[in-house]
Amino acid sequence: MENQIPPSSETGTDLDNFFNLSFDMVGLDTLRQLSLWAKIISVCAFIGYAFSLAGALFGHPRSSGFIDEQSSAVTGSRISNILGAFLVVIVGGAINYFLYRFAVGIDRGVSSMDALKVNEGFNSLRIYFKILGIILIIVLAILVIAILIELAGLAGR
Amino acid sequence: MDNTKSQQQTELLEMHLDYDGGNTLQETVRWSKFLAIVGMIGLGIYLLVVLVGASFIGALVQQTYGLEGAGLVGLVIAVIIFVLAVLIFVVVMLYRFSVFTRRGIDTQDQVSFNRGLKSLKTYFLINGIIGILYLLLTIFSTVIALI
Repeated sequence: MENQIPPSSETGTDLDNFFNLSFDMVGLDTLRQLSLWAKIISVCAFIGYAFSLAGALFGHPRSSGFIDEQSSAVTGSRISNILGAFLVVIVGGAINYFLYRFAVGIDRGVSSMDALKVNEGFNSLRIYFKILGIILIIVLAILVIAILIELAGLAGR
Repeated sequence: MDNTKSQQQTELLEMHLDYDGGNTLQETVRWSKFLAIVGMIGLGIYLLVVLVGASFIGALVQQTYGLEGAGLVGLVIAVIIFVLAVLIFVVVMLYRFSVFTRRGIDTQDQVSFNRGLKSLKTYFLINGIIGILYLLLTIFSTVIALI
Protein backbone atom coordinates (compact mmCIF):
# COMPACT_ATOMS: atom_id res chain seq x y z
CA MET A 1 0.00 0.00 0.00
CA GLU A 2 2.84 2.34 0.88
CA ASN A 3 4.45 1.71 -2.49
CA GLN A 4 1.37 2.82 -4.35
CA ILE A 5 2.16 5.77 -6.56
CA PRO A 6 -0.33 8.56 -6.06
CA PRO A 7 -1.82 9.88 -9.28
CA SER A 8 -0.09 12.95 -10.56
CA SER A 9 -1.92 16.08 -9.62
CA GLU A 10 -2.33 17.09 -13.25
CA THR A 11 -3.83 13.76 -14.37
CA GLY A 12 -5.99 13.49 -11.30
CA THR A 13 -7.38 16.98 -11.77
CA ASP A 14 -8.00 16.41 -15.47
CA LEU A 15 -9.83 13.16 -14.75
CA ASP A 16 -11.94 14.78 -12.07
CA ASN A 17 -12.67 17.75 -14.28
CA PHE A 18 -13.85 15.70 -17.25
CA PHE A 19 -16.17 13.67 -15.06
CA ASN A 20 -17.91 16.82 -13.92
CA LEU A 21 -19.18 17.57 -17.41
CA SER A 22 -22.05 15.57 -18.78
CA PHE A 23 -24.46 15.38 -21.66
CA ASP A 24 -27.69 16.35 -19.92
CA MET A 25 -31.13 16.30 -21.57
CA VAL A 26 -30.41 19.55 -23.42
CA GLY A 27 -27.00 18.25 -24.52
CA LEU A 28 -28.43 14.91 -25.64
CA ASP A 29 -31.13 16.65 -27.69
CA THR A 30 -28.47 18.88 -29.28
CA LEU A 31 -26.33 15.81 -30.03
CA ARG A 32 -29.30 14.09 -31.70
CA GLN A 33 -29.95 17.07 -33.98
CA LEU A 34 -26.24 17.44 -34.59
CA SER A 35 -25.91 13.86 -35.77
CA LEU A 36 -28.97 14.20 -38.01
CA TRP A 37 -27.60 17.25 -39.81
CA ALA A 38 -24.10 15.77 -40.05
CA LYS A 39 -25.65 12.70 -41.68
CA ILE A 40 -27.62 14.88 -44.12
CA ILE A 41 -24.43 16.77 -45.09
CA SER A 42 -22.41 13.60 -45.69
CA VAL A 43 -25.17 11.77 -47.60
CA CYS A 44 -25.81 14.87 -49.76
CA ALA A 45 -22.08 15.08 -50.46
CA PHE A 46 -21.85 11.38 -51.43
CA ILE A 47 -24.82 11.64 -53.82
CA GLY A 48 -23.42 14.89 -55.22
CA TYR A 49 -20.04 13.26 -55.86
CA ALA A 50 -21.71 10.36 -57.69
CA PHE A 51 -23.61 12.81 -59.91
CA SER A 52 -20.61 15.01 -60.62
CA LEU A 53 -18.53 11.92 -61.48
CA ALA A 54 -21.28 10.71 -63.83
CA GLY A 55 -21.42 14.17 -65.41
CA ALA A 56 -17.65 14.23 -65.93
CA LEU A 57 -17.52 10.68 -67.34
CA PHE A 58 -20.63 10.58 -69.53
CA GLY A 59 -21.46 14.26 -70.07
CA HIS A 60 -21.17 15.83 -73.51
CA PRO A 61 -17.98 17.83 -74.03
CA ARG A 62 -18.63 21.55 -74.05
CA SER A 63 -17.34 22.90 -77.34
CA SER A 64 -18.01 26.01 -79.29
CA GLY A 65 -19.07 25.78 -82.90
CA PHE A 66 -15.60 26.74 -84.07
CA ILE A 67 -13.79 23.86 -82.40
CA ASP A 68 -14.20 20.27 -83.51
CA GLU A 69 -15.42 17.95 -80.71
CA GLN A 70 -12.54 15.55 -81.44
CA SER A 71 -9.89 18.28 -81.23
CA SER A 72 -7.06 17.95 -78.72
CA ALA A 73 -8.25 21.03 -76.77
CA VAL A 74 -11.65 19.48 -76.11
CA THR A 75 -10.11 16.07 -75.28
CA GLY A 76 -7.65 17.72 -72.89
CA SER A 77 -10.40 19.65 -71.18
CA ARG A 78 -12.46 16.46 -70.86
CA ILE A 79 -9.54 14.55 -69.32
CA SER A 80 -8.83 17.36 -66.86
CA ASN A 81 -12.54 17.44 -65.95
CA ILE A 82 -12.54 13.71 -65.22
CA LEU A 83 -9.30 13.90 -63.22
CA GLY A 84 -10.64 16.89 -61.26
CA ALA A 85 -13.88 15.04 -60.52
CA PHE A 86 -11.93 11.97 -59.32
CA LEU A 87 -9.76 14.16 -57.06
CA VAL A 88 -12.83 15.84 -55.56
CA VAL A 89 -14.51 12.45 -55.04
CA ILE A 90 -11.43 10.93 -53.33
CA VAL A 91 -10.66 13.89 -51.04
CA GLY A 92 -14.30 14.83 -50.39
CA GLY A 93 -15.24 11.18 -49.94
CA ALA A 94 -12.54 10.71 -47.28
CA ILE A 95 -13.62 13.86 -45.42
CA ASN A 96 -17.31 13.05 -45.54
CA TYR A 97 -16.69 9.43 -44.55
CA PHE A 98 -15.44 10.67 -41.17
CA LEU A 99 -18.37 13.08 -40.90
CA TYR A 100 -20.72 10.15 -41.54
CA ARG A 101 -18.89 8.06 -38.92
CA PHE A 102 -19.26 10.96 -36.48
CA ALA A 103 -23.00 11.12 -37.15
CA VAL A 104 -23.45 7.36 -36.77
CA GLY A 105 -21.30 7.21 -33.61
CA ILE A 106 -23.18 10.02 -31.92
CA ASP A 107 -26.55 8.61 -32.98
CA ARG A 108 -25.76 5.12 -31.63
CA GLY A 109 -24.17 6.54 -28.48
CA VAL A 110 -27.15 8.75 -27.68
CA SER A 111 -29.76 6.08 -28.39
CA SER A 112 -27.97 3.43 -26.31
CA MET A 113 -26.59 5.94 -23.74
CA ASP A 114 -23.11 4.60 -24.42
CA ALA A 115 -20.37 7.15 -23.72
CA LEU A 116 -17.82 5.01 -25.55
CA LYS A 117 -19.72 5.31 -28.84
CA VAL A 118 -20.12 9.05 -28.33
CA ASN A 119 -16.34 9.25 -27.80
CA GLU A 120 -15.80 7.32 -31.04
CA GLY A 121 -18.09 9.80 -32.75
CA PHE A 122 -16.14 12.76 -31.42
CA ASN A 123 -12.92 11.06 -32.48
CA SER A 124 -14.26 10.91 -36.06
CA LEU A 125 -15.16 14.61 -35.79
CA ARG A 126 -11.58 15.30 -34.65
CA ILE A 127 -10.21 13.47 -37.73
CA TYR A 128 -12.73 15.32 -39.94
CA PHE A 129 -11.57 18.73 -38.71
CA LYS A 130 -7.93 17.62 -38.80
CA ILE A 131 -8.15 16.60 -42.47
CA LEU A 132 -9.89 19.88 -43.30
CA GLY A 133 -7.17 21.79 -41.43
CA ILE A 134 -4.35 19.94 -43.22
CA ILE A 135 -5.99 20.55 -46.61
CA LEU A 136 -6.34 24.22 -45.71
CA ILE A 137 -2.64 24.40 -44.76
CA ILE A 138 -1.66 22.76 -48.07
CA VAL A 139 -3.88 25.17 -50.05
CA LEU A 140 -2.45 28.18 -48.17
CA ALA A 141 1.12 26.93 -48.78
CA ILE A 142 0.43 26.55 -52.52
CA LEU A 143 -1.12 30.05 -52.55
CA VAL A 144 1.92 31.58 -50.83
CA ILE A 145 4.30 29.79 -53.23
CA ALA A 146 2.26 30.99 -56.23
CA ILE A 147 2.31 34.60 -54.93
CA LEU A 148 6.08 34.40 -54.33
CA ILE A 149 6.69 33.03 -57.84
CA GLU A 150 4.50 35.78 -59.30
CA LEU A 151 6.38 38.45 -57.31
CA ALA A 152 9.72 36.99 -58.38
CA GLY A 153 8.52 37.09 -62.00
CA LEU A 154 7.48 40.73 -61.65
CA ALA A 155 10.82 41.64 -60.05
CA GLY A 156 12.71 39.88 -62.87
CA ARG A 157 11.04 41.96 -65.59
CA MET B 1 -37.34 14.22 -1.24
CA ASP B 2 -39.10 14.18 -4.57
CA ASN B 3 -36.61 16.69 -5.93
CA THR B 4 -33.70 14.50 -4.89
CA LYS B 5 -35.33 11.48 -6.51
CA SER B 6 -35.95 13.29 -9.80
CA GLN B 7 -32.41 14.68 -9.70
CA GLN B 8 -31.04 11.17 -9.25
CA GLN B 9 -33.19 9.92 -12.13
CA THR B 10 -31.97 12.78 -14.33
CA GLU B 11 -28.38 11.99 -13.39
CA LEU B 12 -28.96 8.36 -14.36
CA LEU B 13 -30.16 9.53 -17.76
CA GLU B 14 -27.08 11.68 -18.24
CA MET B 15 -23.91 10.56 -19.94
CA HIS B 16 -20.67 11.83 -18.48
CA LEU B 17 -17.77 13.10 -20.51
CA ASP B 18 -14.80 10.89 -19.62
CA TYR B 19 -11.08 11.55 -19.90
CA ASP B 20 -10.69 10.21 -23.47
CA GLY B 21 -13.76 12.10 -24.67
CA GLY B 22 -12.49 15.31 -23.11
CA ASN B 23 -9.07 14.93 -24.70
CA THR B 24 -10.60 14.18 -28.10
CA LEU B 25 -12.90 17.19 -27.80
CA GLN B 26 -9.99 19.45 -26.85
CA GLU B 27 -8.08 18.47 -30.00
CA THR B 28 -11.27 18.84 -32.07
CA VAL B 29 -11.71 22.31 -30.64
CA ARG B 30 -8.10 23.24 -31.52
CA TRP B 31 -8.54 22.27 -35.18
CA SER B 32 -11.96 23.89 -35.45
CA LYS B 33 -10.56 27.14 -34.01
CA PHE B 34 -7.78 27.12 -36.60
CA LEU B 35 -10.31 26.52 -39.38
CA ALA B 36 -12.60 29.25 -38.07
CA ILE B 37 -9.86 31.87 -37.76
CA VAL B 38 -8.41 31.15 -41.21
CA GLY B 39 -11.95 31.11 -42.62
CA MET B 40 -12.77 34.48 -41.06
CA ILE B 41 -9.56 36.05 -42.43
CA GLY B 42 -10.14 34.54 -45.88
CA LEU B 43 -13.77 35.62 -46.05
CA GLY B 44 -12.86 39.09 -44.77
CA ILE B 45 -10.28 39.50 -47.54
CA TYR B 46 -12.79 38.20 -50.10
CA LEU B 47 -15.45 40.66 -48.88
CA LEU B 48 -12.96 43.52 -49.13
CA VAL B 49 -12.03 42.50 -52.69
CA VAL B 50 -15.73 42.27 -53.66
CA LEU B 51 -16.52 45.71 -52.19
CA VAL B 52 -13.49 47.41 -53.74
CA GLY B 53 -13.90 45.62 -57.08
CA ALA B 54 -17.65 46.32 -57.15
CA SER B 55 -17.22 50.07 -57.36
CA PHE B 56 -14.75 49.73 -60.28
CA ILE B 57 -16.84 47.18 -62.18
CA GLY B 58 -20.05 49.14 -61.49
CA ALA B 59 -18.58 52.35 -62.87
CA LEU B 60 -17.16 50.51 -65.92
CA VAL B 61 -20.45 48.75 -66.73
CA GLN B 62 -22.45 51.98 -66.23
CA GLN B 63 -20.20 53.73 -68.74
CA THR B 64 -20.58 50.92 -71.29
CA TYR B 65 -24.18 49.69 -70.86
CA GLY B 66 -25.89 52.48 -68.93
CA LEU B 67 -27.98 52.19 -65.75
CA GLU B 68 -29.55 48.79 -66.63
CA GLY B 69 -26.15 47.11 -66.74
CA ALA B 70 -25.12 48.74 -63.49
CA GLY B 71 -28.33 47.48 -61.86
CA LEU B 72 -27.54 43.91 -62.93
CA VAL B 73 -24.01 44.20 -61.53
CA GLY B 74 -25.50 45.55 -58.29
CA LEU B 75 -27.82 42.54 -58.07
CA VAL B 76 -24.94 40.10 -58.63
CA ILE B 77 -22.85 41.86 -55.96
CA ALA B 78 -25.79 41.81 -53.53
CA VAL B 79 -26.12 38.05 -54.03
CA ILE B 80 -22.36 37.58 -53.50
CA ILE B 81 -22.48 39.66 -50.30
CA PHE B 82 -25.48 37.64 -49.05
CA VAL B 83 -23.61 34.36 -49.67
CA LEU B 84 -20.53 35.79 -47.94
CA ALA B 85 -22.64 36.88 -44.95
CA VAL B 86 -24.02 33.33 -44.63
CA LEU B 87 -20.51 31.87 -44.84
CA ILE B 88 -19.20 34.33 -42.24
CA PHE B 89 -22.09 33.32 -39.94
CA VAL B 90 -21.14 29.65 -40.43
CA VAL B 91 -17.50 30.37 -39.57
CA VAL B 92 -18.52 32.41 -36.50
CA MET B 93 -20.61 29.44 -35.31
CA LEU B 94 -17.56 27.20 -35.66
CA TYR B 95 -15.52 29.71 -33.68
CA ARG B 96 -18.20 29.87 -30.98
CA PHE B 97 -18.16 26.06 -30.78
CA SER B 98 -14.42 26.07 -30.20
CA VAL B 99 -14.49 28.92 -27.66
CA PHE B 100 -17.48 27.74 -25.61
CA THR B 101 -16.57 24.06 -25.60
CA ARG B 102 -13.02 24.89 -24.54
CA ARG B 103 -14.31 27.20 -21.83
CA GLY B 104 -16.79 24.54 -20.71
CA ILE B 105 -14.04 21.92 -20.37
CA ASP B 106 -11.55 24.30 -18.72
CA THR B 107 -13.93 25.83 -16.19
CA GLN B 108 -16.26 22.85 -15.81
CA ASP B 109 -19.17 25.01 -16.88
CA GLN B 110 -22.04 22.87 -18.17
CA VAL B 111 -23.84 25.90 -19.64
CA SER B 112 -20.82 26.92 -21.74
CA PHE B 113 -20.32 23.31 -22.84
CA ASN B 114 -23.96 23.05 -23.98
CA ARG B 115 -23.67 26.41 -25.72
CA GLY B 116 -20.65 25.11 -27.62
CA LEU B 117 -22.58 22.02 -28.73
CA LYS B 118 -25.50 24.23 -29.82
CA SER B 119 -23.14 26.35 -31.93
CA LEU B 120 -21.82 23.17 -33.57
CA LYS B 121 -25.42 22.12 -34.25
CA THR B 122 -26.14 25.49 -35.92
CA TYR B 123 -22.92 25.13 -37.91
CA PHE B 124 -24.00 21.71 -39.19
CA LEU B 125 -27.58 22.88 -39.77
CA ILE B 126 -26.52 25.71 -42.09
CA ASN B 127 -23.98 23.46 -43.76
CA GLY B 128 -26.74 20.89 -44.24
CA ILE B 129 -28.98 23.42 -45.99
CA ILE B 130 -26.02 24.49 -48.17
CA GLY B 131 -25.33 20.79 -48.85
CA ILE B 132 -28.92 20.18 -49.99
CA LEU B 133 -28.77 23.23 -52.30
CA TYR B 134 -25.40 22.02 -53.64
CA LEU B 135 -26.87 18.58 -54.31
CA LEU B 136 -29.85 20.03 -56.21
CA LEU B 137 -27.51 22.22 -58.25
CA THR B 138 -25.22 19.26 -59.00
CA ILE B 139 -28.14 17.06 -60.09
CA PHE B 140 -29.46 19.87 -62.30
CA SER B 141 -26.09 20.54 -63.95
CA THR B 142 -25.41 16.80 -64.43
CA VAL B 143 -28.78 16.27 -66.09
CA ILE B 144 -28.06 19.20 -68.42
CA ALA B 145 -24.60 17.78 -69.20
CA LEU B 146 -26.03 14.32 -69.95
CA ILE B 147 -28.86 15.53 -72.20
